[in-house]
This record gives sequence, structure tokens and C-alpha cells, in this order.
Amino acid sequence: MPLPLAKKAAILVLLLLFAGTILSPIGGTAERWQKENQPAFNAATLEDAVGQGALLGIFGGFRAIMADFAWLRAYLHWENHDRAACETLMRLSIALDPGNLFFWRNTADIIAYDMPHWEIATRRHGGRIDLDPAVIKQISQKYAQRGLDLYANAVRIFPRQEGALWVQCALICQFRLNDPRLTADYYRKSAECPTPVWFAPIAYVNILTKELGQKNEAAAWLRSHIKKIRSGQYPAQSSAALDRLETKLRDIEK
Amino acid sequence: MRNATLRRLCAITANTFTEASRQRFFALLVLLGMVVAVSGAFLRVFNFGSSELKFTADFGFGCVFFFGSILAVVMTTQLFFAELENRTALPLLARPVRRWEFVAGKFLGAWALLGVFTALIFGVLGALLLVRSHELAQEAIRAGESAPWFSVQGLAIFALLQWLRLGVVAALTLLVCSFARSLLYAVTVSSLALLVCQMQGTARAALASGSNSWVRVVVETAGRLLPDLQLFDLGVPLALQPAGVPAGVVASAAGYGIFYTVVLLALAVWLFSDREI
Repeated sequence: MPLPLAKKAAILVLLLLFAGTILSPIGGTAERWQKENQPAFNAATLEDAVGQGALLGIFGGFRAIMADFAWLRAYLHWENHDRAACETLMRLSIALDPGNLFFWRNTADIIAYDMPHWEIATRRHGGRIDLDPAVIKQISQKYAQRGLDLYANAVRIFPRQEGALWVQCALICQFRLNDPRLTADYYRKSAECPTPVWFAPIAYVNILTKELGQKNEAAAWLRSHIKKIRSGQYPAQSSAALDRLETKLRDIEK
Repeated sequence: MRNATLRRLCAITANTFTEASRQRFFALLVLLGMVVAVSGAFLRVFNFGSSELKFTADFGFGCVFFFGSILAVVMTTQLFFAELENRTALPLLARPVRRWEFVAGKFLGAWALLGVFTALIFGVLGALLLVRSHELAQEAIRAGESAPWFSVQGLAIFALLQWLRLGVVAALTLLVCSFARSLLYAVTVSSLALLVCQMQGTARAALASGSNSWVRVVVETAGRLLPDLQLFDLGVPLALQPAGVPAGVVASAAGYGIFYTVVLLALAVWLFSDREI
């Protein structure tokens, strides 16, 4: 005697749930590995693409080309200074192909450097309205922070590029925020990370001495940093870079 | 007795495979798949920053999944409903052929065809990647840079995983066919289910990070209803990254695919067992 349809459907759903529960530990190893090793499966990169989830799912393997097309469309909106469309498409490119550093760097830079000018120009109505400097500063800070957040996320995905990415953050703080303290902090982060950029310690020390007037702190930090390089804590730093740092220390101590 | 069952199963499988391989739809998709996979190499002008091999491989993998899924859904549904609509299932099931043998035979025939499709596309893609990786390696040596990495073995393992993934899709389609009353309904529901299977990993990762624990429970429960097809997306690390993928991870994905296929087929047999034809 066949079961009624509703009963059969309910049993089917229950059996599927049971099977899913039993089978998920089998695929658990693969799921965990993907989340840890593949940026495309990292929840942090997915946040910006939740609305585009369908696209992300359907084109499972076509990610690279879809990301490139999204980037081309973002360029069109960049030319028209359309902030919302440009940022959405750039973030979609990142979400589709998060393993591509090009998208991260350019998105963060466009947001931090270009977009404040676009918003300021829009609010000025072609120069007919004068904007309060405090408002201009607020707009710059808003976009700079978004750029910095993107770089911070990129560091998690590209640990080998950490030093270079912190330098980009320092440049945003230097040129968009005019904040020497924050700029110095980012140069220090770059200098002290496992993949330092050779000039980051010198840039950090220069800001401390020339802009913040902290000559003693700069010398103390540089001495300790040189000691760490000599002890092999930063194997990525070359001997030429060490020579430059020692010369810099001698200059400060004069 | 066992020999007889095996013989009947082989006969249905062979018949399904022959019937399917003669269809123009299969030939068209194979041709289209190959052309699209190869065209990835010419579309690299649109590429921003990722390595050329990764771009070409990614394009080819997408091609196998996209056209393979269409083939798995449409071909399986068509093969199943052709027997019912042409009434050829009636004399077949009137003989000592059990219903589970009919369902399993249909699945094995469709899966074998999907195997041929996967092998052909991966064969073309593998040859393309191999030739290009040699060229790029020579250019890199001349420029004093490190040569790009490409593993034929990794690509072959990924091809097997893709075949298993398409097997899950075919089994899911058969489950829908076992209760569907029309071909159109079966194709539509199977396609939507495939979409959910492909998206559910993304949806779970995105929604589970929310603070509401109820949302997390609902999303997790819903995620258990259908298989997560993103688990099989191991192509790039398998074929293009020197570190590769640990054997345990490949085994985990393969085991998940095999067990899910068996479970979905068992449910399809259960639903089909008391269906009026």
C-alpha cells in the first residue's frame, strides 16, 4: 500500500536531513581545509558578495573571468566617478577571485585616493559651494578608513605580502589623513612583520625624528631592531639593508 | 542469482550509455565544452594579474562544471522519462527486472557518459596546460624567474573528483525524477537543487558568521538537506600549487561524493518502488 504523498515527502526530508548529518563528518576534512587554505572559501572575503552569492555559486570555476569582467565594468564606472557602482563591482571582483592581489590593492587605493575627490566634487556642485575643511577632512577619513580595512583583510590572505601591504597603509595615512603618528605605526608594522620591506624601518625612524620629534625613541627602536636582524629574527632583510640601518643609526646619534 | 542481477544491471547500463551517447545533445555539449575550454587561453587578454595558467585552468574547470551539470541534469532526466513516456519501461519492469536495478542501471549509464565527457574535456585542457606550462617555463628560465607549476597528476585527481561531483548531480536528478510527473518539472527542480547545492557552502559561510544563533541553527540544518558541491573545488591547489592538497582532504571529498551518491540513489529507489507507471 503506497504511502500518502505528504507523509512520503516528510519522510524524504527527514531521511535527507539524517543523511546530511551522517555524511557531513566525512566531508568535514575537505571543508575545513578549504576554509583554511583557499581565500575563495573564507567568510571574510564573502561578506562583500553575499548579495552576489548566486553568481559566485553558479560560476564556481569561472571565477577568474567573471572577476575580470566585473573589474572591466568597474573601470567604466570609475570613469564616470560613480562611487557606488564602482565600489560594488570592485568588491565583487575581490569576492570572486580573492587570490588576486591586483584587485585588493587597486580597490583599496581607488577608494582611499580617488573616491574622496569624487564625493567632494559632487558636494561642491562644480565649485559653486564651498565646503567646510572639517567636512572635507571627515570625507577623506571615511574613505581612507575603508581603504585601510581592505588592506588589513588583504594581509590575512597574502601573509607573504604583509610588509608591502602595511607600507601601502602607511602611504594612505601619510597622503590622505596627514597623520604622522598613524603613518609611523604602519611603517613600524611593516618593519616588524616576517616579510619586511627594506625601507620601512628607515621611513619609521624618519617620521619619528623629523615629524614627531622623538629622536631618542627612534634611536632606541633602531638599536633594538638592528639587534633583532643580527640575531636572525628577520631573515628576509639583506645585509645591504642592515648596512643602511646602521648608517641611519649613526646619523641619529650624531 | 547474483550473476543474473549483474547481467541485468550491465544490460540496462550499456543500453542507457549507448542511447545517450548517440544523442546529438551529448556531442554538441562535448564540442561546446572543448571550444570554451580552449578559448580560455585566448581570453587571457582580459586577465588582471592572476597567473596565465591559473586563468586558463580556472576557465576550463568552470567549463567542465557548467556543461557537465547541464549534461547530468538534462541527459539523466531525458533518459529516465524517455522510458516512461515511450512505455518501454512497462515491458522492461514486467520481466524479472527489479526497480532498483532499473534506477541503478540508468544512473550507471548516465554516469559512464559523464565520465567520457569529463575525460574528453580534461584531456584537451590538460594538453593545453601542459604545452603552455612548458612555454612559460622556458620564458621564465630565460628571464631568470621561477617557472610556473603544473601537475598532470593533480589534474587527473581533480578530473576524478569532478566526475564524482557530476555523479552526485546525476543521482540527485534521478531522485527528483523518481517522483516527478513531467520532464520539465524534473529538469527545473533538479536545476534549482543543483543551484542550492553549489551555493550552500557560500551561504552557510556568509550567514553563519551572523550573531543570531537561531539563524545559524536554521542555516546549518538547511545545509544538511542537500550535498555541498563546493567541497569538490580543489582544482587550482591540486594542479597548480606545488604544495598540492593532502591525501586526506582528497579522500574526504571523494568519500563524501561516493556516499552521497549511494544515499541519493537509495532514496530514488525507495520513491520509485511504489510509483505507478
